[in-house]
Amino acid sequence: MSILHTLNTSPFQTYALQQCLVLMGEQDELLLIEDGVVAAQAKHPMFEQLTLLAEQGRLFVLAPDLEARGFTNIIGQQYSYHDFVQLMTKHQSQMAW
Amino acid sequence: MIEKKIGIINRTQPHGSAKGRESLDLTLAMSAFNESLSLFFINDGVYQLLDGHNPKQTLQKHFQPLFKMLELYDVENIYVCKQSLMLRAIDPSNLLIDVTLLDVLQLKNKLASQDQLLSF
Repeated sequence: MSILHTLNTSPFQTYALQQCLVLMGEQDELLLIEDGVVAAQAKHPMFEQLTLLAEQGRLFVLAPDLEARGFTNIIGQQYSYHDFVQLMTKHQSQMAW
Repeated sequence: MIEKKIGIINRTQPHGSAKGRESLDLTLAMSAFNESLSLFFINDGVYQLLDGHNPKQTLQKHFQPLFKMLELYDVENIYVCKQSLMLRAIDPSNLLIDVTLLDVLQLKNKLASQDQLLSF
């Protein structure tokens, strides 16, 4: 059974992204929301690992939060609020980081 | 009475919390009776000034244009950490307003020269 991980803090401010990546299962997916969207926009120490996740199609970024901050993502797939709900129903549970 | 030198430090992203807006409101309000204000943008705070915010879909207040009021309110000491920009691959030309770029050593000195610091 898979988990949808949501991350809402910046990798420049907290270790949540690092901690999340350690615990992610092979079927799990990651959705970046709120301040977390910066992880898909800027190079940071975890960027390579996050790129791997994106290549496997398991990284999503909430588009409204990107837009609010004037960001464009360089990795991950942009998701709308509607897609977020769809994604949620795909997984057994959600883990909020 | 000698006016205190006040430094207002922005360390967080916009829209993730209300800190950015609160700091800007405070700055504009204080500028009415203090002419020794300095604004600092460090770490994720540099994203406050990255041009192009559009929080319409997140139903938040679009406060970024208010940064342009700083000039009108004679807040001229606006400092941005050069290293924080570099780390995030932000070109200074993408910032909304004119700022002074400081390296870490200059930033340390500038912070040390303030009488009071307010951190957001």
